[in-house]
Amino acid sequence: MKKFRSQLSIGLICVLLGFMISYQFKMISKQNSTAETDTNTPEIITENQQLKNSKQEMQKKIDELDAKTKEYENASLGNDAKSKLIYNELLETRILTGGTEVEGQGMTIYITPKSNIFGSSSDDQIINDTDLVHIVNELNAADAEAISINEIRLTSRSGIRNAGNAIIINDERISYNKRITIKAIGKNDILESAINFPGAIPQSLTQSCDITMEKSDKIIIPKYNKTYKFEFAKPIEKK
Amino acid sequence: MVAFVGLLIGVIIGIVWNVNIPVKFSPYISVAIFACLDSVFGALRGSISHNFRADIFVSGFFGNAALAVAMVYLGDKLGIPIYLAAVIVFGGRIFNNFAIIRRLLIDKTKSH
Repeated sequence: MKKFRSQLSIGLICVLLGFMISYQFKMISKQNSTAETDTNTPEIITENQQLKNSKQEMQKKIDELDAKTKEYENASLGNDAKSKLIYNELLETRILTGGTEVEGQGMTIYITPKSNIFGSSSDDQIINDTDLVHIVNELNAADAEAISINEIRLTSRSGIRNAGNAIIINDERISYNKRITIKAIGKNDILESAINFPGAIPQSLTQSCDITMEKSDKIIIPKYNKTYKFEFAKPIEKK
Repeated sequence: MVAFVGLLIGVIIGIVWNVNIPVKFSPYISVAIFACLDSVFGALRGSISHNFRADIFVSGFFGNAALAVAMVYLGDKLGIPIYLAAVIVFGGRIFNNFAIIRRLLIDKTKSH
């Protein structure tokens, strides 16, 4: 009888142990897969609204540009050389202002926050706005022609800063404890050596995140999806 | 034998049964599993060297787990990773027990 009871207790404890182990395995794998989609509903709603607004603005801008190109084309139909010149200039200006999607050789940098199983620090800010600014600055110094962060095109008027529980770039929010992808178009080797130079990536970032980069011959950077408005800056006309 | 059947049943229950333990308890369960593994190894060693006692095993199983969980909780509140102490001690003991089990088993096979 005593033997039977001890056997039973061992059996029960093993049931418990097996349950705990398999449950924990299941939970951790679930945690990893749902971490991406786990956002608050109000956040999603505001993000949705923002996306809708920017889409409308984009559409407006597209219409506007289309109308403009048509105007140019119509106005200079008779003069071939002139129209070509204007058209080329327009294309260049568009690349400069981020008005078109661009592709070319360049590199991609992935910043992946290191996961911490004892999740006490999961709410901490892992990636800082200043880290991103620093990297973008390095890329710009290495003659990058176009840069995007998480498919958000950076232009001369883009700001990168912390706001609330996100980093805001061009009025779009990106999370600071999920993977961030920075793309840059420019000469491959120069970009790579600039980023690999000691100190180019802040030390605090290398401690808290895995940073990988890859060179590529074809990188596509999306266009800037907002309209430029100049309220105060006016060109000075020389007499 | 009983242990293996129990373990199997437990794994199946864990996979099939969809209970909801809040995610924030995840680190507690991790440490508790470690503590339980330690006492299971202790029991294995005891049964091989023929001085296994069920009451000690049961009390050690739950006692270790509870102590480890309490340590994690305390560490969380104090901001010190005390759970590391539990992990190191249990890890060390698991290896220790395993070493003794190994020796006993090898001795047994040699004496036959």
